[in-house]
Amino acid sequence: MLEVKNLRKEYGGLTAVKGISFALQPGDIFGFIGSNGAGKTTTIRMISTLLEPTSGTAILNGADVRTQPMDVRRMLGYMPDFFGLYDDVKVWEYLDFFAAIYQVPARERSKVIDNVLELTDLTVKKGAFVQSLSRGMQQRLCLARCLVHDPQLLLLDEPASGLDPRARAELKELIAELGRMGKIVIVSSHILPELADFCNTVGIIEKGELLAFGPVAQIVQGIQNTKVLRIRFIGTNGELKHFVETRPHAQSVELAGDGELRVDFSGTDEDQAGLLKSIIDAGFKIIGFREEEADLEDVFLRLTTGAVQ
Amino acid sequence: MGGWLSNAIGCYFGNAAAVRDFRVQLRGNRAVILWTFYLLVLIGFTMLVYSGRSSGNHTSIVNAQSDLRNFYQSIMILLAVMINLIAPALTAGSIVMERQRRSLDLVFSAPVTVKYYLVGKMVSSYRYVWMLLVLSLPITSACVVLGGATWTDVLGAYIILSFNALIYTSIALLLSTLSRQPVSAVVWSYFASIIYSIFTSMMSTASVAMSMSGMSRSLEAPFLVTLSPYFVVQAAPTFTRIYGYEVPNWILGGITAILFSKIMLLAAGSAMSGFGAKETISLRIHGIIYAALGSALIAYGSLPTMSIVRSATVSTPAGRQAWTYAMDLAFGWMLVPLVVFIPFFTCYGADAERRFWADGSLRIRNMLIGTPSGGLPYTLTLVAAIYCGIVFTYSQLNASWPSSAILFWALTFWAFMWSLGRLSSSFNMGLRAARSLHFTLMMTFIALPVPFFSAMGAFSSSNAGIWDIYILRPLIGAEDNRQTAWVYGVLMLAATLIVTYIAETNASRKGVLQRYAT
Repeated sequence: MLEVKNLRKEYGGLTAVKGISFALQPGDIFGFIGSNGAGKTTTIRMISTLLEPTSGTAILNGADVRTQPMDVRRMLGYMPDFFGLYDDVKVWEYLDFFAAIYQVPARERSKVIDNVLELTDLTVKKGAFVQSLSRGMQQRLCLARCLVHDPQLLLLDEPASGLDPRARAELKELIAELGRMGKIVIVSSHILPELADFCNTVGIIEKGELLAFGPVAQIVQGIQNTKVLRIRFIGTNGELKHFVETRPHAQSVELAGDGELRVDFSGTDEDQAGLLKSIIDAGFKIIGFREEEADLEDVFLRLTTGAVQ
Repeated sequence: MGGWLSNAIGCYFGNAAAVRDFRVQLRGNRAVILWTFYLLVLIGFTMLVYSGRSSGNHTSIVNAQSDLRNFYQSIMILLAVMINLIAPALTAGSIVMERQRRSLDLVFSAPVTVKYYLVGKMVSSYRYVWMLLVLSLPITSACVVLGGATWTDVLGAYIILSFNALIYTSIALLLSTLSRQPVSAVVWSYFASIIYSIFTSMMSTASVAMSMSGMSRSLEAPFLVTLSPYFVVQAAPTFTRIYGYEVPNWILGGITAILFSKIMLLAAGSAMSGFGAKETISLRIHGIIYAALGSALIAYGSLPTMSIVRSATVSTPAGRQAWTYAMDLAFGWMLVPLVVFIPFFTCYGADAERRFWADGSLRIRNMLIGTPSGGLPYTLTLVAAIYCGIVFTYSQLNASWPSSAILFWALTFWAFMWSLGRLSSSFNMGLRAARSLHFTLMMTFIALPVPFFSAMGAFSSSNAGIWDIYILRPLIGAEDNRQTAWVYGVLMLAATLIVTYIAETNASRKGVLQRYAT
């Protein structure tokens, strides 16, 4: 379990992270969302013990990043937003080096290297030089490096930046698999669609403040007072619009193109079913009735626009 | 005990960083090309020297023996040059290139200590130098076969060379840690190595000349001769008599080299770890001990010269007095290298992610953790430690030691230098800018007046008195400077108080203290 408690970082006059707190359980894949300079990397570096917090702390399975950094390091794998690969080193040598500094016993290293290469689908590149790998492969190699000591927490800072769609899809699948293996995975990114697919928890950070934390659906619900309904129909635009406007809980109704209405609806699911029934009973020909799901991007934009001054 | 031992073995012998670097160093054509070039230079030089020495067919056995000895010496000097060139080059990029590649974050997010990583870097470079030394064995063995040296000579010389390589490696490793760019790391490493070579060669020249030439013709010599790679032939057979036992100097030189490399490693570790880290505290403690030990050793290294000068002069009252005055000057000038270090103790400001905050002006308890408030007490402690080192050594000669007047002046002078650092920090937000300004201010007081005063004195002898306003006035002239030292000490003390007041007021006004306070 990871507990982040009131973590704060100041650089001179600038406060990069303003006392954020959250907790994650094994198996959680946490999407850490924020624009550039919001404080994501600073937070991750503090959790990874590379940066000393000005105040507050993070505790990973009982080990405190401030007082027991070596214990924390043994339990985490950190993948920064750069590769940091060595030239003239082969893939297996690169992993062997990190297995050695993570104190994996020498007799087990070969097997561990084979396992992580298999997991990251790099077995065929075992003897290749790291600089000869494609960007996607280098990214997977970095992830393999983080896995050599079987960490319980993975900190992935912008893991998908610069990857092509295929490499991105492969990486997403790999991260989801790590979550299924019971690891806590923290993925920071400002590319929101890539996070929404596989994160079960998200946190939105802006100017060093954690504005929202929790499951995606819960966050969306928290920021929305009304649902958005989309109604597709056959017939004249004006009649249905006038009809819906008279129904209870319909806050506003507007035409969203030919044959579609967009309704801000404040009622419950029961009220929603009642609205559909009343429309059909009134004789309108309905071919589509759905609730529009707010995506992460909407949530992020709503939360961060003018949220922190 | 067992855990400590296995950690130590893992750190020095199975170090992952060293293993990885070694794989890279030996990979591909680069190593083959470097070794081939290295051997070609050695062989070419050997052939050139040998053909030059063996030009005559008819020569006496004595001359032939002398020629072969000179031939051997030439080869060893060439090896010293190679070590001087290769060891800094191999090491200078080791940390700074990792920093540029940003791979240090990957390493230090693993359970790796700074010591482990730095030792690994040093071992990989040092092992490579050893390989080059071994590669040169066929060349030096030719000297043995021809009769210019014995295997014992060669072995002793190689051991001394390897210790010197360790020193060059550790210097370059420290500068690699401090540098931001690989080019500046290489340039500073060469600069420092050359300064080291010049300094130790000068020391060795005096010692070897006194011990082994016409004056005494003994193999007993201060072990400091082993600290110059250019004197390995002369230094290899020398010994130091300790409690009646003849201890080979290469052993004492080796211990010195290991201690030297240790403090370089601690300095590099402190630079990477920051305030309060155990590396910083250890470095500061070692700094005090080494300052005392180093000054004692330098005083000891100059003993042959000092003894002869003293025996020639001390018999007269005037000579005795001159000897006393010389002690004061020796102590004062020995402190001058502090100008390089004092900006690191004193200045504060922002430096990337690390903050060197002004945690007050003066806190004795912070002396060892490295924060700027501990700068003054640490500087003064170093001055006192150097004084103690000299007093210890010269008291063994039954000679007088530096006066209390010069000690008072030295303490106040370095306090004034410290206040200049506080002043430059109060004007700058950046740490590097503050340190640069501090160094420049010190040089303005110490070095800049010298050419001006010299020129004034050259134009007219009546201008000679202008040296009286020189800040180092108590350290010049062969006369009794003790009165001057007291007066200048009081002046320095007043100047320190005034400059410190201005600096602290300025810092407070700019809000620097508040901004960087924790």
